Amino acid sequence: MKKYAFNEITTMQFIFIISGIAISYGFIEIPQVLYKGAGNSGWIVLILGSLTTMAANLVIVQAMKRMPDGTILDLLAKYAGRWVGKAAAILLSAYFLYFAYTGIVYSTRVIKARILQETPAYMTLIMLLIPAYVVARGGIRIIGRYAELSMGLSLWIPLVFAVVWKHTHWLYLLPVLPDGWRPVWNAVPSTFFYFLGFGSTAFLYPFLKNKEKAALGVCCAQLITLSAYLFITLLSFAFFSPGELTKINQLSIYMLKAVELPFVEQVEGLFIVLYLFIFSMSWIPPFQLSAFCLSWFADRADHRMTLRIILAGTAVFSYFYVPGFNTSYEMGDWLEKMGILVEYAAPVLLLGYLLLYDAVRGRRRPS
Amino acid sequence: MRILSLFGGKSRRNVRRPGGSSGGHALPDEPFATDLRSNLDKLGKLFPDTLDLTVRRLQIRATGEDAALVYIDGLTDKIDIHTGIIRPLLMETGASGELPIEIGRMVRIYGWNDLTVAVLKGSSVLLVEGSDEAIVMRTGGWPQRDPTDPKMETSLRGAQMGFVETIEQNVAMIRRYLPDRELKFKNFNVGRRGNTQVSIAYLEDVANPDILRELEDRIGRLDIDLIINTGELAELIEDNPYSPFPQLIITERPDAAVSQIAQGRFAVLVDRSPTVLIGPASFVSFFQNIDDYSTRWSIATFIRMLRFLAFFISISLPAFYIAVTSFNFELVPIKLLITIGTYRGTVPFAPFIEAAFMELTLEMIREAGVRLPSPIGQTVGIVGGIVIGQAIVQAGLISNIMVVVVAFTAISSFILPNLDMVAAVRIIRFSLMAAASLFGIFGLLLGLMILVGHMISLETLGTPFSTPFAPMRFSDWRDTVVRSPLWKLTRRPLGAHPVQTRRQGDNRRKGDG
Repeated sequence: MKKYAFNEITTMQFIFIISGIAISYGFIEIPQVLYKGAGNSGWIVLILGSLTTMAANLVIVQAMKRMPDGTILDLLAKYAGRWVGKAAAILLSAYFLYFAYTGIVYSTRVIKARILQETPAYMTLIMLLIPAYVVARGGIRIIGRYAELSMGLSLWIPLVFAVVWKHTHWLYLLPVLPDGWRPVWNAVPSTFFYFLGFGSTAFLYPFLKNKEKAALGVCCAQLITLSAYLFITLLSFAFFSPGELTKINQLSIYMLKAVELPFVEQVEGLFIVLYLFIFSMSWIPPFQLSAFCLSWFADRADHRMTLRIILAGTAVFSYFYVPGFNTSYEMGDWLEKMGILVEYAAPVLLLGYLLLYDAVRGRRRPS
Repeated sequence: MRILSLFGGKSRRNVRRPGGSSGGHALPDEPFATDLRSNLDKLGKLFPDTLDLTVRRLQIRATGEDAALVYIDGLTDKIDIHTGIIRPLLMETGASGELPIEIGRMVRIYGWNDLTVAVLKGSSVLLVEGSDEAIVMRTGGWPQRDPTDPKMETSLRGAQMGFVETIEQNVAMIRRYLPDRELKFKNFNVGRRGNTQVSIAYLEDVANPDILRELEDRIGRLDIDLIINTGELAELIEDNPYSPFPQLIITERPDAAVSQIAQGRFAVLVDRSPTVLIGPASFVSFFQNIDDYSTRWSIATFIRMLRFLAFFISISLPAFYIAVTSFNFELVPIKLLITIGTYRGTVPFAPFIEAAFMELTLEMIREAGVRLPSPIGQTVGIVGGIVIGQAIVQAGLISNIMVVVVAFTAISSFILPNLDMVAAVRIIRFSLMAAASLFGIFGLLLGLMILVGHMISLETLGTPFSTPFAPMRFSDWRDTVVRSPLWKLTRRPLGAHPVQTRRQGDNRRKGDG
């Protein structure tokens, strides 16, 4: 039974969804987090964090290999019982909803702070839900196309940042590892937040056209995420002096103040707006996955109804309350804790359970 | 899974499998009587007040039988009838026992329904005493025009011949380009009263059978009175009629149609309509023009890029103007801002009102130019150019910059080669202007995001509209924003899902000779 036929995504779409979700969260904030964690060796932390994530992601792929035609929920239902699947559906739906909400609140706050100071935040947020609905109602396949396109449309970003190249001082990066490895190791978990989103692999896997390329795909996705982060981190480390690095918020945006183009005055304003394509990757796919989980729970094949409920709920809620910047960072901290649990720890436990299950099952009924 | 089926279904709400396809005034198919007199009585009842129905009684010299020739005067070719049917029947003493008729296409029919259809479509029917069958002879000859050069899609190098209103001639024009056994035509009759012949033309070994089935299904399910024009058919069978984008190409050029057929697409010919429908069409196919392939590839590439740029400018420039003049001043370099301010200072309207007014005026001028006969048409140019362009600025109602923006937008939209796409651009432009007036540059980008989201969800005949950008198909990029040299286009574009992808071998000359 192929439940998800005609809704396939290509390997490239798979890669871009995973890395798109991650990058949208981290690209603006990560240099500062790394610097606070491990000083100018923060970029080494990044590589280690990325390798850990890659391993965690491969664990998910390994677990999903048992269920080529179903999502993680089908897998749980098959191996641990129907109700475990249902419970997981609710939990994951809540997780992805929170993930999406955190992302959309953060984007709203950045937009409000930088370009739309006068417009009430709830209005911005509700407006952002419209493209989310237009894209997410099409299902995973349309999300895949959107990921491809939004990454493609954002290829200009490195070029803009290349303009600040002449203001960089690469000596700031030296000495490497001034305090030894300890701060580096300690800082690794703080990067996990910015790699979150690879848990979507567990839902994308059955839609993937070439399943044998899944492992390669997740490695590529993590490499893309890593290279985007390394690029912006190294550039900000070389651009800002050590004193500035801790004092300025949102380094990536601030850096663009140095860019002078003949036809645009404030490049960073335009950047924020165009960066929406990447930003949106932090909420559109999670909203869709949340709706997907919920409709799986309700045994409905069509996720559009649940998507409408979720988005309408978000809109109504936001009309009354939109978290401020500080709250959104706190929400991020919570998301980090949940994310480490859901995306790093849970897959390992799941794979362990599956191996055990197979071992017990294999002894009982050799085949 | 068909995306948007929620909306797609509604458009075809009046579909019903036509059981009795001749509909309202259908008769049970009655056989002919053997007696000529009672047959003619019956004919008189079927066509009571039909002045142009001609019934010619004659005696066939070869057999000595009485007969009657029935045809409609205006729909038939008189020379054919006189020299090909009536004269031989009266004069020839046929030896072989066969009727001496000098018409190529003859069919025997056995019932009144067939007779009605045949007569009304311009054939002549011969009823013979003592026989319960009739002979239909194709003698159609209604008023028609010669193929002239296409009016809307002019081309510099392409053929100077456009489709005409008769499907047979259109089929012939396509065959002239593709004398290939694999070129197939699937025929349908659409419309209970119109009974319009609709043919799907495709290359059987290239085109995708699934898409063909989808297309056949959509045309076959139509239950409608009458189709006058190709555009009506397009609206009835396209995937999402609520989208601003056209999802099928309408062309009046045989060479364009054939070039699409050769890429594995389908052309739908509609009798009585001088345009042909082509599908599945992707977004980029609305930016391609037949001339692109007959000019040198470097210049064709340049023009393609120009078109995409023009598309972008013409949907977003007025919106961008509104955004920077009413919200995001910080984006504009200070010198330019001062210039804009100098002219905007005296204008009493908000930027959105100003822009909407000018864009609406432009649309009106354009629409007026389309419908007016050409002698009066020149006046529109004068009124538009001098009165609205110059006087309105001097009166201080609209700023100079706005006029520049409008002119730039207009020029950009003129570059687009497809009329339907230009129409889409106009609608999108106004929506983006509204979005920009509410949320500035953020609104503009929000609008573009929604547009992108809509475009990637849009399907045409069940294939993605936004190919080859999303889903990404790099091999198809050779004929999109760039037009690669012809020898590089060795494969047919995958967007139409052709079953045979190889288009040509290696045609690049090698060596130094």
